[in-house]
Amino acid sequence: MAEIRLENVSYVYSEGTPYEISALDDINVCIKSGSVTGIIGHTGSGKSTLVQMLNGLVKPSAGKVLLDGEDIWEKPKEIGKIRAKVGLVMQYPEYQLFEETIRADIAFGPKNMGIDEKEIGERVLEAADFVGLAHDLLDKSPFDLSGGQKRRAAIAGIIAMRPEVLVLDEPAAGLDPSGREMIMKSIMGYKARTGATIVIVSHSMEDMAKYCDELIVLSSGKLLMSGKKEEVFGRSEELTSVGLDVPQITKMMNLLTKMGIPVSDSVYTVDDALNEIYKLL
Amino acid sequence: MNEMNEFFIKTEDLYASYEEDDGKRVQVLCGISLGIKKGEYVAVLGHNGSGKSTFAKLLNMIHMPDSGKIYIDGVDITSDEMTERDIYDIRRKVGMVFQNPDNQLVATIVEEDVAFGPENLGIPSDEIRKRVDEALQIVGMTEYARHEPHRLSGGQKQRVAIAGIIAMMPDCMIFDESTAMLDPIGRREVMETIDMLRREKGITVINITHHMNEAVRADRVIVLNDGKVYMDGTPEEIFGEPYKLELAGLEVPQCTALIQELRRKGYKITGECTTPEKCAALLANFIGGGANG
Amino acid sequence: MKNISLGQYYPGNSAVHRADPRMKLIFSFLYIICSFLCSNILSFVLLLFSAVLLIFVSRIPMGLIMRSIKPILFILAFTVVINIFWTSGETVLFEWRFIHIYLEGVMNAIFIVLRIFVLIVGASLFLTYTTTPIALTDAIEQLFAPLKKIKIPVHEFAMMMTIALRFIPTLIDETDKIMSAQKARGADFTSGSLIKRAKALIPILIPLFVSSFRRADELATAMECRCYHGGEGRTRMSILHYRASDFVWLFIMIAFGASIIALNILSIGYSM
Repeated sequence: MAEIRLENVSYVYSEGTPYEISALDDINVCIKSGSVTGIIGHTGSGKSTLVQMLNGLVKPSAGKVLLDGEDIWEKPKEIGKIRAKVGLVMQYPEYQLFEETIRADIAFGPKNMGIDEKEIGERVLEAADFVGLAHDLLDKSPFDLSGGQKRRAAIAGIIAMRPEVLVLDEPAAGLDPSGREMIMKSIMGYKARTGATIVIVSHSMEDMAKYCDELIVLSSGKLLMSGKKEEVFGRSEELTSVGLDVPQITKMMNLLTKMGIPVSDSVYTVDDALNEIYKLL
Repeated sequence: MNEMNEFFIKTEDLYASYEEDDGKRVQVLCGISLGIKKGEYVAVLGHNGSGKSTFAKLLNMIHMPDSGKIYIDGVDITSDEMTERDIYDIRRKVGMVFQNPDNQLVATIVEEDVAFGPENLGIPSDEIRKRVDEALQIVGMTEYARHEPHRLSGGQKQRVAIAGIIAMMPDCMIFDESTAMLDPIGRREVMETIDMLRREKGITVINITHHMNEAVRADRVIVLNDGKVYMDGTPEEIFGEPYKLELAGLEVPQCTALIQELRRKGYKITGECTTPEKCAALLANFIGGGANG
Repeated sequence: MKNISLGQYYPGNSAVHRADPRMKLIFSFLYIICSFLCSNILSFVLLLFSAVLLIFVSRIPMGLIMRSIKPILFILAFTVVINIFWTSGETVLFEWRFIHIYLEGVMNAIFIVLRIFVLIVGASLFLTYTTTPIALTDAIEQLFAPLKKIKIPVHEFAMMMTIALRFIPTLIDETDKIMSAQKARGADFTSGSLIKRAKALIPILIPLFVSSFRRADELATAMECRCYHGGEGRTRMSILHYRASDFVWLFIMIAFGASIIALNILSIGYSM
């Protein structure tokens, strides 16, 4: 039950030096409570910076980040509390595992929050269940696990903090199709059980279409568009003009429209496309 | 002997395994017999742990098989008579580009890195210079020749890595999930480079990937599962069996899935449907034709 | 962190920049010897004059050179104090209770400061500021190539340096990422006792080590695939060639050394 609102947020790298680069420029956007929001943009569009602002890893050069209406930088000393509320899973999170056992690694976050041992134990098991890690793996070393298992253990490390907002930067990057699906399903499972707000950064438009209900599109540090998935994918020409993709099936349906075949222009899953085609047959 | 000339790469009943830290042996390949022709473009699919990376590393002698034979350009590389010089010759002929763009560039300057392979081969300086310039031109990185690799984008780094292999004048290039860590732009850069290498250099390409949209570009798709050749055919044939693919932990491109579903429902749509363009043409034709009939 | 540059290379196209890196390596060595040979005011004046001339020719901003002296300022101050208060001589300049300051001590202090200054200017102008780390590595490899005959792994050493130079920026980037990731899990690197802070580094260091080993492993495989097998039978694309200007430099250097020695022998003025 948490909403994040960005108000006139800008970020400048190496301010005041010759290397000054504007990474984000006057962003106004709202991530609705309980939504699954996708962030789309190229490498260098500012999306990684934006994501790191949501939990206070990066402080905006100007503007405010409001969590449930409160400025997260009101008390800079208490930014740790914000980081527990807004859990961030960075890219390739398996590279941050360091403890001797998976159990201890998942417990790292809750321990830093000052939670008592007994509850930590419960949270670790709960988090492992969310990501589908068998309990007998918990006492293994992180380095004995497969790539996909490591990734899930790392995500469990954030889930164990029970964040109200779970932010994931390319959670499925580099995994095979079944690994991708498993990760996405665990995230959706966490959402369904806790009602948390989910923010996902991904290059896969197919995944975005499948799992998100809201989308934020960034291009060269500016907010290009934001809104319901239908609205955003409905503007596919604008997306392709900045070099972004739309789901393959959307591309195909748009081609059909161009050929004069009357199909809806807001189709982004195979099932929707089938329904449209059936209407014509 | 004739058969050997026909295939650039030929494997016979390959078995391979590796040892885990706790001493347990894991069987990765169980009897792979394949032939890949000169100039062929092959995509190798398979979920993580299906043995596809191990297979690639056998082809240029980074790993050795437990049993079975591998012939590269007619030479039996599993033979005991292979000298060190023969090994370098195989590695020159079969170049390899890896997944992580950072971990395969050696030098601090782009052109120095491209020169690394030819330098190891002991090629004279002015010849290296020529090859490096040509290789950089082929991958479109000439203007970055004097740049530092760490300032390049992922796609650019991979193109430099490709140039580093091209400069060794290989007959075959293996891409071991070379696009897995790239964003869509980087992926497109690499895929276009591969297409060009095929077109202009006639290089045999083996692309190991998770991305079905990349596999579609190949002449032939080989699916590995549990260390065996699970499927082998044209992209059209392979993606024509979505359920079989799903059993191997893979998925089909959305457009193919759509047409397959329609076919399953009894609509007789014939033709290739691996890309949005082909699929749209197919459907337009079918819907148009259906309306007329 | 994206804009870190390694070493202190200051891009330019001056005569010093263009000189052969091997020559520069030899020069800085000779220059340092010369600065130690100086033993009277005249030769010191020549040395100082040469340093100023060198700064001028290389077109390196004075501020940059001063910055490279900063880290050793403390040592410099320390030697000055030691020399001023602990050198005894004949001419007393100042006396108060147990403190005696002699002219010799002051002169010694001045000479030492100047000598260190010239040393740094010489080494940094010839090497770090005007030569890229890669050129320097190449120079070391080619200059010391004869040492291979006595089984000194010159090529391996140069290769190690190249790889280190190549991977330092990558690892700095990676450290940055791991720190952010652990901070997102509530790790705190800035508060607490020294021991607590040292402990807080474990979640950074372990992943960093693990990933370095993974990178090393992958790099080794990639190098093998590109037929790397040590320095034997290996050729280079860019071979360093001495040019006429390099011999002009060499001549100047010899003349300079000879003048210093000559001025020492003349021993006019203050002698140390």
